[in-house]
Amino acid sequence: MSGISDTERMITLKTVEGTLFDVKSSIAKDIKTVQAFIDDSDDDVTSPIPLPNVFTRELSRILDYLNNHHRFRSDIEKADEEMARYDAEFAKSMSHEELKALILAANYLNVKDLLEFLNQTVADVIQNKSVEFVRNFFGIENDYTPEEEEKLRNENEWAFNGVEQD
Amino acid sequence: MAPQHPTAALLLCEVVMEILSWIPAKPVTRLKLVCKSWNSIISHPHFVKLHLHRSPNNAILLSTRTPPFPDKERKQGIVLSSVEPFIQNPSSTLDAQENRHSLHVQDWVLGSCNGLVCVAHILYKNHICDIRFRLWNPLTGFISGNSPCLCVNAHNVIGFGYDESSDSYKVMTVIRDSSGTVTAQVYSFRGSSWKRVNSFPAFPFSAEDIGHFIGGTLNWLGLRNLLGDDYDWADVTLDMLMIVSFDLKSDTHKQILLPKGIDEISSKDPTLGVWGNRLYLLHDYKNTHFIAWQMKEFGDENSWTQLLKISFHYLGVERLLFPEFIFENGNIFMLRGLGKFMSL
Repeated sequence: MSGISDTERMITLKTVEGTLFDVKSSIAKDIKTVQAFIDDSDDDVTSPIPLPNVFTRELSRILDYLNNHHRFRSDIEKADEEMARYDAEFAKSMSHEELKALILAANYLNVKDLLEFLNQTVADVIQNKSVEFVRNFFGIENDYTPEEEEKLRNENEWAFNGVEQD
Repeated sequence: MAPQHPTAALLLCEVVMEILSWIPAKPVTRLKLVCKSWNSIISHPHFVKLHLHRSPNNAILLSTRTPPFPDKERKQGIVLSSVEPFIQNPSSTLDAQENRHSLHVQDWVLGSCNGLVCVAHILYKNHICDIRFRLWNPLTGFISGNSPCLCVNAHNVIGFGYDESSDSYKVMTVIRDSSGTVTAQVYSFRGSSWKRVNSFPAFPFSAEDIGHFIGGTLNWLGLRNLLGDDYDWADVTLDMLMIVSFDLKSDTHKQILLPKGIDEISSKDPTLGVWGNRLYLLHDYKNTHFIAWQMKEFGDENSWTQLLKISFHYLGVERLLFPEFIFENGNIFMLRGLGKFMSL
């Protein structure tokens, strides 16, 4: 099993700021963008792999997440419970801005499980909020005219019934 | 120049679509008001499909034929509501007055697939009816153009499904003529005409039994060798009963055997259902118990499993009551009330 071998190959990743991270190849497998790079180089990767869209704060969080999840998975009995507890803490530890930045990085690096978890986290945050809150959350400008907005609201009236705006 | 952290960065469209797909139908519909691009994401058929597959909780309950609008408008009410509140709080009520959409009075809702609803417009002329079909996206209000008119006798049943191989939605009508011959007609919403399928092996015995869609096929409970115009359930024998399964890709049909554990005919008509991508056969036993069979692997007749046998007394009902929704964990959702409910 390469996952538990002490002599496991290490891959070096380089963030936008130039910080270097050494990553086990078993962890790199979960980072599909990095794995694709390794596959394209016929496994002959000697110099650090540059990640032009990924910042140090995000990469460090992603590696934390992957390392912990690998560790949980090695202990099948407690895996689900501990993972759920860890995930909840992980989501809580970030501000909304940090959460969005992490989604961008996880999307670019194609880390599927993490991305799905983060997307659900954001979905939970915004689903009972007002349209105005959601615009602010995503930094989106309202591009409707008041008339268009009124018309759309009337067409979808059923969805607005019984809503207490925050 | 120092690199800028993407703090206020706009998230990519594909990421937004993923995030929104985790939000239940009612709140996600409100989010169409965020901006124009979100409105088009939420209105896109791919989104509707993704959203529905995320969770059966995202499904919408649809109730047809609520009290009509004032006569001169010739409209009927259609109620949309998420299933979710009913799961969290089973005593929730549906506010039909506030949640309704409107449809033309001669339209009725046939069924749904990937969140798209098929609407039939039916005009009766003596014993003949003219039917036209349209697709309706309830999240967006989009309605497609009409299918070519199908002119059939009143002995017909209808089904609606999706053929993944050609990415097309199809409607199907099974028709029985006065000589007892059963044929079918299939229409693809990508095409321009109806296609006739000869020699259908059985006739679905309930006109209200819309074809049950699973695994690219439409399924009905049917009776073979049916003579005459009408039948009496008391005369029906077990060997007359069959499940007929029509493949929308190849336009061919086959028979699916009933569970081996069924050794006598139920006292009331049994029914088929599809929930959570499983086929169910539901019937009563000696008019005192409700029995539910689940086909674990669709198409594998050895995988029929008796999921439930429960007395009417225990359920608190006096007669057979069919569920509206069965969840993958085996929870069963039943609704009592006037009018017909359908889960999307």
